Amino acid sequence: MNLALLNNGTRFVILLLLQVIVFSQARIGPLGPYYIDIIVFPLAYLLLPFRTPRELQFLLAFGFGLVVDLSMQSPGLHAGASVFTIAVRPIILRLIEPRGGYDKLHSPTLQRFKWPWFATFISTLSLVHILFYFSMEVFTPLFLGAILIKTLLSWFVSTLFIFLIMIILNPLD
Amino acid sequence: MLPRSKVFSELGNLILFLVLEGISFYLIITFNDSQAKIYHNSVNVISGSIAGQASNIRSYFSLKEQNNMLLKENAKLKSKLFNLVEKQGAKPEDLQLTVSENQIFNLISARVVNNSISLRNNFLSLNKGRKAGITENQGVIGENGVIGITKAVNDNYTTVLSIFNSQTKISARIKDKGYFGSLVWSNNGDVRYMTLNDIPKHVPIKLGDKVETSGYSNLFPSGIMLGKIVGKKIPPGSSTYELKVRLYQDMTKIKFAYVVVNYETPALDSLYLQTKSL
Repeated sequence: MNLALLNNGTRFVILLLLQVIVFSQARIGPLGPYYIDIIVFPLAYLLLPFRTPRELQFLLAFGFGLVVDLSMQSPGLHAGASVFTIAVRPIILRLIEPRGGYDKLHSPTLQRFKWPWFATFISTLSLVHILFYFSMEVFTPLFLGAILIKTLLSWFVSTLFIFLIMIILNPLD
Repeated sequence: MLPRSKVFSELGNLILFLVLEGISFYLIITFNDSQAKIYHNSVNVISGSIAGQASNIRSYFSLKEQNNMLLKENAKLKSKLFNLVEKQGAKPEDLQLTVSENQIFNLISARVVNNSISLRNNFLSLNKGRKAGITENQGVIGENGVIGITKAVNDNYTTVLSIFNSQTKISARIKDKGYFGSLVWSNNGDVRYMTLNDIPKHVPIKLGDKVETSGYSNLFPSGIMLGKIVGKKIPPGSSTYELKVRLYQDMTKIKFAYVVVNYETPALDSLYLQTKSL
């Protein structure tokens, strides 16, 4: 229990620092400014152990999102997206459930589940987070095109960086 | 198998989810400028069009009353016109002034689709907007006096700051005496009365004196009758009257309003800015 707390806490701090100090500064824009946002911090709440109570999952996702929001001056945007994504997580987990089911002491990490499963898991949920984030950022369906372009580009780059971080850190739980 | 919640039921999780999303949404529309603008504009459009539909339906039930009202107003205007013709020897067609040369004021008629009188800060909505030529900060008058000042305008609807709003101040004077002050809502819960402040206490005031717009604010033409004085007192230590004014306009049943377009406003504003920068 304490180990899980320490693991996830450290993970959140590392991801927060990476997000705020590195990735949020590097807004790449080949198609004009602000088209690509690299968003890697969702990893922090996506890797919560299966046994985490649902309500704690919601509160942690909201808290993580809010802290990132406060450091990026976008109050509510990441918090809303994180809560939505953590709500979707069980649905995705059920869809890609391996034959043996899940061990509820484990976390959905690369070491536990290997590449195809982990890639599906992360790419789907980061897509959910990023789509929700840009929908709220643009905030009007009139610019649906802009939402989709921003989402797709940012999703592609963000997911690559999340994989990279996962390969480097490679936690067990 | 995924673990089931032990502290909350499934419903509890749903509620927690909705509450957290609600907080996020609130934060988004409160602390992010562009999102806040989009949100308020959408709310304005949606509530305006709902109120517009409802008012469309309601207006059928009072057609007769409204007709009578408009007929009366028409008759009043016609008699004024004929008096003018009689007195000054002009023909009615001579009075059609062109906008570019001589016309100072123009009126845009609109229907009141939403009205509140019971709040501390009251607003009205009109069913015309920027497309009809309405902009922010224009006066709105009714049949028997002033209704308010336009506050926010979109293409088809206008939100009006009612005279029953703590932010509204109307420049008014006492008819035939010329002393002017500002008419404000004292917010005492009675929508028949307003308070006229800033009239010096040496001025002889009689109960029953009439109050009209002064024309100093360039929102309203001068001489629109507002009401009559029904009570006067001088607060201790003050050098000005606090006059109780009974309004002619019954704000509880207005159906139509006229937005006053002042063609001199841009010129006056630029002059005012120049003076300020001196």
